[in-house]
Amino acid sequence: MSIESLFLSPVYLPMLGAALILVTKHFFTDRQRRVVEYLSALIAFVLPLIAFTFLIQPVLAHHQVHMILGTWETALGIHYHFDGLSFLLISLNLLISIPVWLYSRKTGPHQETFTVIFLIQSASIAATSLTADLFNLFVCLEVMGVTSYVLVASSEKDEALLSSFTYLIFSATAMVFFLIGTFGLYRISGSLAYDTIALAKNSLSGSDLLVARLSLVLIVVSVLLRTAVIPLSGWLVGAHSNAPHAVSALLSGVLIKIPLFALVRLLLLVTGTELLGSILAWAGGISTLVGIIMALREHHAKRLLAYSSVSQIGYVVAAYGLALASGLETEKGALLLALALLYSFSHALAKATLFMTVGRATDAIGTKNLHRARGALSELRAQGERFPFTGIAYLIAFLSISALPPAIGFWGKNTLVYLTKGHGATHLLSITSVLTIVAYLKLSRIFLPSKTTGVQKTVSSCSVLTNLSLIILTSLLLVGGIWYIELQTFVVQVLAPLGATTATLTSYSAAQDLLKTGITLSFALLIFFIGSKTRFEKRFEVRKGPVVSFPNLFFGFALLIAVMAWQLLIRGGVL
Amino acid sequence: MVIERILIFLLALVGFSAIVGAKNIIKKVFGLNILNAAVVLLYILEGSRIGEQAPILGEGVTTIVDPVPQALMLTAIVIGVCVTALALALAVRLYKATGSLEIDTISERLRSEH
Repeated sequence: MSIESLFLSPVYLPMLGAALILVTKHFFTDRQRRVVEYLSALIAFVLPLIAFTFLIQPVLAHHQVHMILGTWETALGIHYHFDGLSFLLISLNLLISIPVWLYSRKTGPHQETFTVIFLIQSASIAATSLTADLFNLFVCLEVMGVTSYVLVASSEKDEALLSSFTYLIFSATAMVFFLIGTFGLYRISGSLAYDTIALAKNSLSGSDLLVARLSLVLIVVSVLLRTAVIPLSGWLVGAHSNAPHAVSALLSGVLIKIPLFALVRLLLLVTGTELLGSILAWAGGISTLVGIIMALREHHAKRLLAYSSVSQIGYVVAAYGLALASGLETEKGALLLALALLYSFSHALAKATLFMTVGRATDAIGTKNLHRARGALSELRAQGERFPFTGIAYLIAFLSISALPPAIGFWGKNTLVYLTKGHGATHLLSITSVLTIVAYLKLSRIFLPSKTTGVQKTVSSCSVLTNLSLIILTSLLLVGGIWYIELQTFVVQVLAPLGATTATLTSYSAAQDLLKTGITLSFALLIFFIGSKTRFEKRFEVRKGPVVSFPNLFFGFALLIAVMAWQLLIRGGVL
Repeated sequence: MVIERILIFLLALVGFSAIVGAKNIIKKVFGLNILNAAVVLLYILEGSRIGEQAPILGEGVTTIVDPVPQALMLTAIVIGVCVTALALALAVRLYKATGSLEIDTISERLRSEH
């Protein structure tokens, strides 16, 4: 088999699976259709995963493929580029999607169309990671968007409809600005392929350069909206907290990160992204802190998790921005990009596990209010969970996201914070580490034994598949933690064609960080106990749920464009 | 050329202000469509700078306009239609759930359900 057919398999196999389900919908009996559904998922997820194991060797040997879809000539065709970056992004998607899909079998949504949409989304994620054409990126992002609106709305709750609508209007408007940016770059370069655009952009001057910079600002801000950096994250909380648990896990875990890394291909080629990188680092740093404070103010379990995603994506954006600022050809820049990717991976695993376990626990208790929800373990046992899979999976994910050993998050966050030292945003990241633990301690109270024993029977959420999905995620979290050094070397090696070839984190010592983690943890415990024993916590919390306000959402959008445009155009920064 | 650009800008502004300001969710969807249409016009206008005739090669056709923006806009229009259809479907379900199309009333009624 040629390498092209292998790396394109995550794009076309899910499409094939989706088509299979749709075609058989009207011919087969219910039982047969169920078999087809499982078969399609097997085709869509397991086959590409097997194909990708064959690609490890070529990717490690820095083998890159640049291809044009169809038989078009270079100037007109759609360019696809396969390298280490797309390999890692697609693997991330596959590794999270499989457990999420297994989990959704029992907890719903149960419509068949759910699997269809889920598979199309998986294909669009793969295409987004592979594309090297600006307009194709627009199309992929739109497909990704449309499928995620549907997935959010597939919840049985009515609030999810409003969240989905807000998400749709907000991100569709941002995509219009993306289109304007695409137009600006097409005008100055006469092409849509990244390399041609960058080539034209790097030799511009005068008013054309101004147009090019403004276009890039529009594109970057539109993508940041999908990534939910702080002034642009208003849509995320509703969408991620009202969606079905499985969908929340996928959206928070995978979907918000893919556009960011897809953009790296374009930004890499454009010269002088230092100032842009620095702005991104600050935006990320502010996101981490504001996100976690908003999370602490919540008493709704899933909204807390959603705000925490805003906070965690801030770490990724900060590392990503600093990587751009120091340039990927430098050792530090290359390492930072690798760490941003690794942190995305560790956050995706942890957040998916958290959404699944907390979703299951709160369903068993019957409330998502953190002040009333208690005794999740005994409730789950009453529903037939003999071995506490949910509790153990939650514990591991909690350790990982709070950066405590031995899970992957401990290494991920500490190496990341270590490398960002020297930039002002680091301090924000360090404060957030403490507050993150506090927020998750607050969430963990749902597993405390309950004083009242008001058992209300809901539908049992325990099944072999759900447990299997939790086992997969938990073992990935632990395996990643144990072999983190090897994993990091692998990622750096795979990403080497993008920048520096040899980058190792030699000066970092985990022993030192263990001590620091201890201090962080004791601070967090102190804050948590002061907060929970006094009335401070209740005063600090917001009474009402978040209000959807379009002017506010768009104010953030305008603000970020204005800040970037001011920095890059008026102050004469280079971009 | 300048007047056309100003008109397109105004059209985009109309669409954008409807998305941000309108209380009715159907009007918001309309606003999105108007904004989309403005961008489509922008592409077509700028693509027509280099020629005069439609890009269908045949006898006597020499100075064609740039066909790439037109091809792109076909795709963008299709995507716009899909997004509009989905938004309207959501609006219908919101109306069924709450009995209103005003965004403030909808969020109020959804919250009071609890």
